[in-house]
Amino acid sequence: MSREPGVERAFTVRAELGLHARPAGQFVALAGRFSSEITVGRGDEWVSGCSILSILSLAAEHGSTLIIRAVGTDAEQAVSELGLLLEAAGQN
Amino acid sequence: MAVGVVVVAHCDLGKEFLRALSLIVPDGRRFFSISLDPSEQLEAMRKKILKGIGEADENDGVLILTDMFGGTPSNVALSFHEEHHVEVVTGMNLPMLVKLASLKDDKSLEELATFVKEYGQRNISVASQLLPEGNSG
Repeated sequence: MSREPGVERAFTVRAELGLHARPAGQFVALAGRFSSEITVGRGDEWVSGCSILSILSLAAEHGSTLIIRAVGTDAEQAVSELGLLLEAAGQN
Repeated sequence: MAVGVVVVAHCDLGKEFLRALSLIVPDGRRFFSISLDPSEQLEAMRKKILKGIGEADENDGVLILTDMFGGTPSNVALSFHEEHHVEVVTGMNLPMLVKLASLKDDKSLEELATFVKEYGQRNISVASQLLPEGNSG
């Protein structure tokens, strides 16, 4: 399978309670609006950006670093917007 | 997929499950909840569940999630198994509901019941065993 070029950037989880269920739900809802395939990584572990439970399994606490990777035509926009959401999640 | 989903549970457990679900998946599919009070007569309980099935059914069957095998909600729900196209999955948890709410799928009722049971079981964890290394302290 050929590997399309993707966009990948690291973001810090700002929410005091970490990336918990509600922001994970918001993340997945936003990820679903892009046509790119989105994955989220922490260390060596990568999960689908379209599954709330998979994202929760990363146990991303406050201050942890997550990598968002998007592959597809709107990859740049997807990573930017999803990263913004992660870093703005302090309000949640 | 147009399998309907009805949550049947003791007291307002089902309603509260759906309230929590709506915080996590605000735009998810709409489910129905039936609250059963132990003081209710059997016929009244059956009537409530039947109404829920009727509202949820879009001709592809109805998945009934209950709180616990052997409890009254499960037992009463199970009594519809013969006469209606329903499957009853007992011991629901929030991961199951989150998954169902966001599922884009064309599973049949029977496939969905098996899938959601396994999904719920898979998502019961000892949390500390899930944490990445160096993150347990």
